Amino acid sequence: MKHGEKTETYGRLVWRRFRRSWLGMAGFAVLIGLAIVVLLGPFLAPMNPDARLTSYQPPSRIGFDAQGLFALNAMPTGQDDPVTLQPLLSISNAAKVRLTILAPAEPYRLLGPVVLNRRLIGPAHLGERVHLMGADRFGRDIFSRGLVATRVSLLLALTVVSLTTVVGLLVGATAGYMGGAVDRWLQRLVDVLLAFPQLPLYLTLGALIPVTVSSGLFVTILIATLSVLGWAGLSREIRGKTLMLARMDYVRAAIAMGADDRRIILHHIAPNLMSHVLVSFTLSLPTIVLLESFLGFLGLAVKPPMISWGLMLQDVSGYSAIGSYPFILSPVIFVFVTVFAFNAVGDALRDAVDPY
Amino acid sequence: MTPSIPTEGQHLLEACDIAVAFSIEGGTVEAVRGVNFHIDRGETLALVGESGSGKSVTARALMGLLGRKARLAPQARVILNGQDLPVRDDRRMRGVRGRTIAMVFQEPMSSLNPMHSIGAQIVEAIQAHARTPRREALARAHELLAEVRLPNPEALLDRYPHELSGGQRQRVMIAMALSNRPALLIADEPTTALDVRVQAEILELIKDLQKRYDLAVLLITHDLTVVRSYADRIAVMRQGLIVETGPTAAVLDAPTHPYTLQLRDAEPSGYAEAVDVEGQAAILEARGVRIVYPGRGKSPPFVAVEEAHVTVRRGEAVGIVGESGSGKTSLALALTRLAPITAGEVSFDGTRIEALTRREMRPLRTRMQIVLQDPFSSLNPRLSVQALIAEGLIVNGIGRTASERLDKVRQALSDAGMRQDILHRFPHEFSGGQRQRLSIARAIAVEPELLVLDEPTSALDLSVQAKILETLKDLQKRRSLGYLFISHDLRVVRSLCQRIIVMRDGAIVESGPTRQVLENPQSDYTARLVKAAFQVRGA
Repeated sequence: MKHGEKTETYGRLVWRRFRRSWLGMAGFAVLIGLAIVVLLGPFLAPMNPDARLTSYQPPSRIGFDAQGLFALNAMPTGQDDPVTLQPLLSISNAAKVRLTILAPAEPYRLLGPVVLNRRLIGPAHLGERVHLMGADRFGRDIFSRGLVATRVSLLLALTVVSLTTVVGLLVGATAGYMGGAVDRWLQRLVDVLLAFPQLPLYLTLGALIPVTVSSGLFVTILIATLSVLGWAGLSREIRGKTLMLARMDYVRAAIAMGADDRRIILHHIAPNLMSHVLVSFTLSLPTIVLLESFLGFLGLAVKPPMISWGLMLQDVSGYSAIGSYPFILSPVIFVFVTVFAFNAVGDALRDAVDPY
Repeated sequence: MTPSIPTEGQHLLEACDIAVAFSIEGGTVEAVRGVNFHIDRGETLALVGESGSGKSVTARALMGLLGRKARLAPQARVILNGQDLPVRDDRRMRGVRGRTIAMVFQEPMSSLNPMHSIGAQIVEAIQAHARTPRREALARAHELLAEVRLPNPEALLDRYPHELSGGQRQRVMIAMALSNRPALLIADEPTTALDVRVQAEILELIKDLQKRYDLAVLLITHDLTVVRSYADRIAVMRQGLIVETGPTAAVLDAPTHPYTLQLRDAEPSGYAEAVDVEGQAAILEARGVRIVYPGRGKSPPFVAVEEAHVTVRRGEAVGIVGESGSGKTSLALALTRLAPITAGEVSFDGTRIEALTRREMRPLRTRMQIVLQDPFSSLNPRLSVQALIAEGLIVNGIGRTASERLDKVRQALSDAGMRQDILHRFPHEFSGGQRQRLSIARAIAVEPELLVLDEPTSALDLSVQAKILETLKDLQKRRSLGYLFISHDLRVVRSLCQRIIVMRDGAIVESGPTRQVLENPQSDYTARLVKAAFQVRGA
């Protein structure tokens, strides 16, 4: 009971200050949306993310008439563009594809053992299509893939940031509290990691890891690499903060009370570091999301059948396609929205976490 | 500038109906609620009150320096030399600030720019208001530094703020304030951050300059001894209102408002009650304590304390007084083994402790406790009152059950003069004085025999200080506690301590029974300290 009351009081103070930032609140709303997408992604997707239809099908036009929502997919007109020699598309002779709620679908796995055969919104009949953001090189629906990829991209970032936070916190707090030789050696290690040229390493890894490696192993390697290289910055911040906190009068008072190191760290230093860690956690997530999509663009992305935003952007690296089909860049929208939301929440949190 | 000669009956400055409200989260706070006063040439008006009474806000309102969150009431007027001041127009006030009205702030450390030399900063102050050639301005700066009696002003022009002591910096601030021959000088707690001796010197300086330039001074302070010595008239502020005003002596000798009376009586006065400690064993005994901080890199080691002998008997309060940097806090921390001791012997109740490790000290911790100076950093903001005070009990395994410990927490709270219904509240919900009481409660919860107090009241208002001193005296009697009380304020030490130790530059210059040391000081230094602390000017 005592514990609950404590967190509630602190939490309430933070929440009151957090609410003052409308940007933070907007970001928070988006994060809730993202959490729903992570849980229900395949159900929210209007199409089967792996179904291959027409390559580079441009985005459908969505309309509304007496019978409800419909989509128009551009069809070849039979003529070719005189410059690019690509077939010209037009929606003038397109048939209306009706969209319904709880549309039928081939059975798919939503989460764990849950198998569904309905989608929230989709074409009324199996075999029909709707592409909100167009289709990729293999004719797969980009929007549906983006929704489904949210799970992998966010969980990957969450795993990496969780690992770097825990390691950074432990190393930083140890170095800051113990001082002396331990601190000196840990700081040199941090120096080395911070000075490490990361980009060449990623490129090398991309080239070195055999194509035959399973997607699970590949993700593990990716997470491990990002985590090993990622904790150094946070550990340095935490070290500085611990140094400062260890000099606070209340720590001195606790020593005068006979408290041992364990108690001082757990009761007096750690709780006061948490606000900093929370903010750092929120602000690191978007950098990993960005890094993942960037690495995907360079070729170091998760392997199919997994889908991540990075993997989707890999397709974009065939530059010639961007000119003709700019819509294949649209996975960037997912990255953008996510990064914005986390940054907005992180900024608002930073202003809010020290209410005293 | 040549101010118009005031006509008969006209005041230099009249403040009419000053009211200031601050907008905060969820409403407004009325910091000043309709204040009227006037100041004449050559006169010192003291604005007196405790923190939060609105005295600084009033001064800032006169300068038009209120900031964006504050709102000056529409009927408020400031009349200088018979003319309305444009206090709501920042741009036009710039011509007034530093020229007709100048201000000296409390904190001489942060009021000067560390990146510029003293000379450059004074020149800037001069040139801000008048087109003066640089050479002329420098000559004037030189003159000003001599005027505020800084030694070797020529060399000082090229020095930087960090090379000066606090008192010297405050003199520089005064020189800058005087650079444009203001008619009114506002001094906002000008000496609070300074040592007693320096404080007296600065106030003397202001008084002399006032005489020479027929300067009006608005002195903002909480220290009634200062008011008595330096102010012609006094205005007592409380909760944004002036409750009493009049000639200093008349008001302080026969206050008509109960609050003035309360303020006056909150001044620490008199000697501590004698305690019979004959035959009592020493709870703490230190011989030849030496504390040296090792130098870093090229800097030489620093000797903080040398050859210190300290004895505290059960039930006795021993005061350590000295100016900042005299080593009194280093000594106190070392005696409680919270800072390293380089050499010497320390015994606690007969046990030698100077070589014990932190672990070996643990069994003794409940018997010696410490209350630290800053009430804002000495309580962990994330722990509730109950957790804070119970910590010592839990750590030392006092009390078998939670309810037994809770009883002890309640007892400590009530002994420290706090209510019982605050167990689940957090430090940030309390004022400085209440926080210091919580610190005391935390320390006495483990029922120590020796309590070391490091400037426990120096961050607090006088009335709060008086109450805390009462509490301490009461505890001393009831629990037969020994105190080692560190302070820079001789008056506080006089009212609490039976014996006194005077420190200077790390060495003990004098020690003995309080009355003997204060009334018949053996060293020159003590005599000067005593004079600065108790002197009443012109008496």
